Amino acid sequence: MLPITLLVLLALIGLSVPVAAALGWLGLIMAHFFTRMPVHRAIGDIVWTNSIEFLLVAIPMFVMLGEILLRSGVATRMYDAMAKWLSWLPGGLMHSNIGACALFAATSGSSVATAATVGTVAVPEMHKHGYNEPLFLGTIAAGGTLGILIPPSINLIVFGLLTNTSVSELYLAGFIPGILLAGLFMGTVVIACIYKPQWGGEKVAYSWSERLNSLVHLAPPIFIFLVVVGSIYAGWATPTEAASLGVVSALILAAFHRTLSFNMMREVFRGTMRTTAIIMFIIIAAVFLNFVLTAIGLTTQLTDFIVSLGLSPLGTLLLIVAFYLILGCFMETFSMLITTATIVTPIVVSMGYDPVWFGILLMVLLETALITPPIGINLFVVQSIRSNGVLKDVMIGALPFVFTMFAMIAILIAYPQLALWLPNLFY
Amino acid sequence: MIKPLNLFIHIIVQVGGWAMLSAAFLVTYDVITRKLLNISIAGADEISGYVFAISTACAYSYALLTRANIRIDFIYNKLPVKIQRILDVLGMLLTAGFFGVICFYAFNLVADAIEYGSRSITPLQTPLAIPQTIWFAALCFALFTALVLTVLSFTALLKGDHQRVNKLVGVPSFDEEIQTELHGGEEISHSEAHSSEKD
Repeated sequence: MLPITLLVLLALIGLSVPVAAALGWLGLIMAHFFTRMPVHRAIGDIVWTNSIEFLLVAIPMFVMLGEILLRSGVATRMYDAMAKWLSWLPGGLMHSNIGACALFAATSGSSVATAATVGTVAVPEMHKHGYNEPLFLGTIAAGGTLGILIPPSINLIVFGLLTNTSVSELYLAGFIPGILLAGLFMGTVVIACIYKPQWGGEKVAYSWSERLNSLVHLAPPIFIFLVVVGSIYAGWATPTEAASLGVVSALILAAFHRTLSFNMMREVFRGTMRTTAIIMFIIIAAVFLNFVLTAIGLTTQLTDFIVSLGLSPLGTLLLIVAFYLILGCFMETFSMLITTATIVTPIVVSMGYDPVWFGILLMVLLETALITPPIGINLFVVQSIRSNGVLKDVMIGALPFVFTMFAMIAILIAYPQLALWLPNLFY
Repeated sequence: MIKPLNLFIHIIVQVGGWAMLSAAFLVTYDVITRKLLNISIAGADEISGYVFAISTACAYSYALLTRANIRIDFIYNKLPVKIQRILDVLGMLLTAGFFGVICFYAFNLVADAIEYGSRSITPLQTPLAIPQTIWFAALCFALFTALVLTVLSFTALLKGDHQRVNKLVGVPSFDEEIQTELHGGEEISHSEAHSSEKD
């Protein structure tokens, strides 16, 4: 049963059938051949109950929040302020890239949006100040991945839904590892630029008054972050409610900056509905597939198989990490999360690991997948923003950060408290 | 065929967007009054759930039309153009088929809701037939869009018009993707054409 499932899945994916349709058909085919129960009839009910699931309403809300911020000019001013505060470090603006990504990630749930937004602002600066192109581009690609780790994160909502884990706890857990990873990225840049000072571009000096004046531009993203994540941490709002508060706050900000218009909202709605449709179509197909796989007993079979290998918990975990790292080179991350989370998480939990902690570890693994060639969405995003040069530059530039992520994975496994300390404090 | 479809889809996407925004305001109002005045309007979560279901169902057509659904193109990119186009049409055919299955079983659900007059087990006691019928109609429209795209792209394939197949059901290039990410639902050249229709 397991080999056939894999084979059908690989065939459908390999034929580049849209992921949602591939998962759906896999479910229908498995249900047809491996059970006499009419499990496929449940699909109407599954689609309806998930379509009205209040937790998932957070997805269009967070997407809309990001869309509004993207179009309200907040990102440009924020990058500018970050440049004034961070560019004295060895590596100059590359730290602003990472800092701006981390801050934008704290208002947005998507890695592609984060890399695209910061990249658009940053790339012209790279030419102006003579930076080492690959490393500079690498900081954007890697920094952008923080979008799915630092709350609010759409991927964490999906993980929470699929594995029955509290999204509020996941959001608390992602915070410290997110900051730490941003710090490690900056450390990587510092080390690289001490080793090769010419990579760091020319220094631009800013006065303290310029710095202090720029602080006001950091206020909007911090305000949104406080509203969204603060209301969850304070226990006032569920993730979906917090996302709605964020949308309303972002609208107020856009109105304040005089960028709010009907034209802008039309683009916002287009982007929001499009992204939501893509995500939801995959989710309903994946939930149906999980239902079928559980009904035909495949999930149990797989868990039994892993347990029968007799590996230690750590050995199993490392095997899973390796599996994700390899898969991440070839597969698009969101599809990877959806197809694997429900199968892998029970295995990890049965080994005695915490599901919240694993959710965070999985996000770092997905982040790695975003910048590992040949298929790394953030590499493509960054490449497409620059007007010339080859994709290889971006891949080489992102490589040091892949190793930084390996270090982060090791740290998370060695010190699970990094993720679990905050949620334990609150729950 | 594609032009009126396009226009209609753009309209329902905008309606869906405004509905989601209204839901955001409703939920925000609920959170604030609950926190500050200690009164809660019952059912903000339930209503926004229905809005979400219906507007997402509307948006499926839009995702189909803008070739937005995620496809893994690792092998695809290495194949000759002719085979790529066949796979494009096959992908849309299977998508249409999956929507067909969903609609078929969703119909049972809706028919039951209408026949038995089912209500939600919440303070609102919503007659489920109302949101479910609208949702079902939107799903059927997604199926219709997928079928139209399948037929049009299949005809184009038979005629050997590979460019048209690509435009209808192919994989957008990465530049197009980024433009979409930064400028809303579609490529620039397209949206100019649309804006004249819509304004």
